[in-house]
Amino acid sequence: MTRLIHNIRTSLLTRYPLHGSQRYNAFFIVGAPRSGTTLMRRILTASPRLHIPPETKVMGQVVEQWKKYQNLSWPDLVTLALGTFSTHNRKDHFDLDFYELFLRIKKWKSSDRNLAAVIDAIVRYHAEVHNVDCFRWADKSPGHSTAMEEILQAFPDARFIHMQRDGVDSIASWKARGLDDSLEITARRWATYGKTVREFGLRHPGLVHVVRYEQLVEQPEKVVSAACDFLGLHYDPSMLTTTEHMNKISDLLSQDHMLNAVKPISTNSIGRGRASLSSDELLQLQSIIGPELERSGYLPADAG
Amino acid sequence: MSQLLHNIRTAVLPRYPLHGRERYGAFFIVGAARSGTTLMRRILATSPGLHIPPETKVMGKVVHQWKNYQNLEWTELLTLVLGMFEFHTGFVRFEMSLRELLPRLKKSKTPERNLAAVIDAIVRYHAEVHGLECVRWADKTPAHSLAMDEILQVFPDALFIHMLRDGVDSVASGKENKLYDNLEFASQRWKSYVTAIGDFTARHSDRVHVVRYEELARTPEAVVPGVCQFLGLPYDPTMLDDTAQLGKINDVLTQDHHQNISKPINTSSIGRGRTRLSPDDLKLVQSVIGQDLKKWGYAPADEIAEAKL
Repeated sequence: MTRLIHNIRTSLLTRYPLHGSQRYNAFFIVGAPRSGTTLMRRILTASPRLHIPPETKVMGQVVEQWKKYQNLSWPDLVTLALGTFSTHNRKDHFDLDFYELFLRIKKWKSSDRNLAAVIDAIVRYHAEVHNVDCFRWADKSPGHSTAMEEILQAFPDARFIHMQRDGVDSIASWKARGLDDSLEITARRWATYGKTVREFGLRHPGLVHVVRYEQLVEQPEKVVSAACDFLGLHYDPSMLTTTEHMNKISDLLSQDHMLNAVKPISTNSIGRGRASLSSDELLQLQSIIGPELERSGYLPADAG
Repeated sequence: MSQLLHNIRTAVLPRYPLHGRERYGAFFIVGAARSGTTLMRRILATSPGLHIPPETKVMGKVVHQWKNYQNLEWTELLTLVLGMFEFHTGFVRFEMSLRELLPRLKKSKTPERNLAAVIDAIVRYHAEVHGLECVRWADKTPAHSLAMDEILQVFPDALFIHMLRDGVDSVASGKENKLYDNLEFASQRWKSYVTAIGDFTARHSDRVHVVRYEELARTPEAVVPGVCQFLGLPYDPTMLDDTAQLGKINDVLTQDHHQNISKPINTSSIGRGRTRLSPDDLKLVQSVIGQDLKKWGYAPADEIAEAKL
């Protein structure tokens, strides 16, 4: 009878579930771009045996594909998942040749065939290829701010660090990078990310720990030790200053906009955006992100 | 009315067809392993503007998946197909990644969203990355002997060169070069490849040109012009000994079983398998492929005599 129920359950459930019984204790650093997510990655990566690879970016997409395309054979589903990781990122950011990994995953027995295990294998493979210890791993991708529900479906024990920063500074910093996005697009993204993460936190109390960028740079000891408490990591003051581990995250050094994250922690960037934008731009920002700024406890964009 | 027809067509036809209107003039060198397919690749690759990349291997499988997975979105179908090329043994010889190709193909307009255009783009991308000219391309993969129908579905104008060699020499060479550890398996493989090609040829005789390895080795100046004529390539006698252009196919130089490729065309490998295999091995080979040897005009494996052609 139990056997029968098991068989019915198995045939009704998806062929390849989002996760198995294994839990990975993974955490995810989210937040709008230019909010200190890379700085937080740098600090936490100093924790021994914790691996945080370059931005994977595609968790939400991979989860949706996995659910939608259960008609694919195992090798094809794996090819699609690995291909999505690989092709979505520039080679110099997430530099992995997935061929070897594909051969391994292809041979997994049925009971191991789930998405969480595939993602875990990708991150561990990145650590293996780069000769980095990976007892536990985390991910830092601002884009995952809108994919937290999907991440939680694949990793039911996931924890999130929400890096929050004055939107005016965030948006101005993105603008200073000289990318094509208009101020309006950047502002809308900031508001959407902030709102999405905040609402996720309300739906899932206890899963999200908010770190304000401004507090992080003003009182790093206090803020980082609290983040470590939340994540179950051992806090060591040397995490704030050490640079020894920087070769572990060499992808930062090749990207201009991330170079600040490898400098000593400082308060130099607080308020920088507010000072650099014109009053017209500040008015425009206020019209788009005003309500979200207020909900997050920041001054209006056009204040003062 | 034409809108109605269009709607019906759209609903019935696959979202992403195997090919569009464009024809590529591609040809495919097939045949059992160790039958001179690489030699033929070397000779033809000297033709100006013709590009023959390393073995792509996955054409048959890609065609099946393309038809099976029409529920995928365009980007996902592309990701899957490029992944199938990349995650196949041997893709390392392409010495490139396809990830930069994806953003280009993603932007294809609907008429170009077909498998033939994707495969064409992959081959041309290989030429581009390696700085080679690619006015026309071909593929040389022995395993495609089993995928000729699928290839014709994608490339309705495809032509095939069937490299045929005395099966005894082929399987002995395969074993000697450690492509197979088992002579019986090698024999069965030879049989299945030549049988599949024979079946395809019976249905599409105008698409297939048979080249016997032994004739190619003995009288290349008589054989290669016929091949060129069949393929619509200009023949030039320098094609036969132009090893200066091996750089166009330098992926073969690193492979032990392709070391003969830089030598001038010669007859030293004709009958080699027959003289090197033990009488027991020859009997074994005969038991598996004896009938096929006869059908293709080769002497029985256990008859110690040079193949009569």
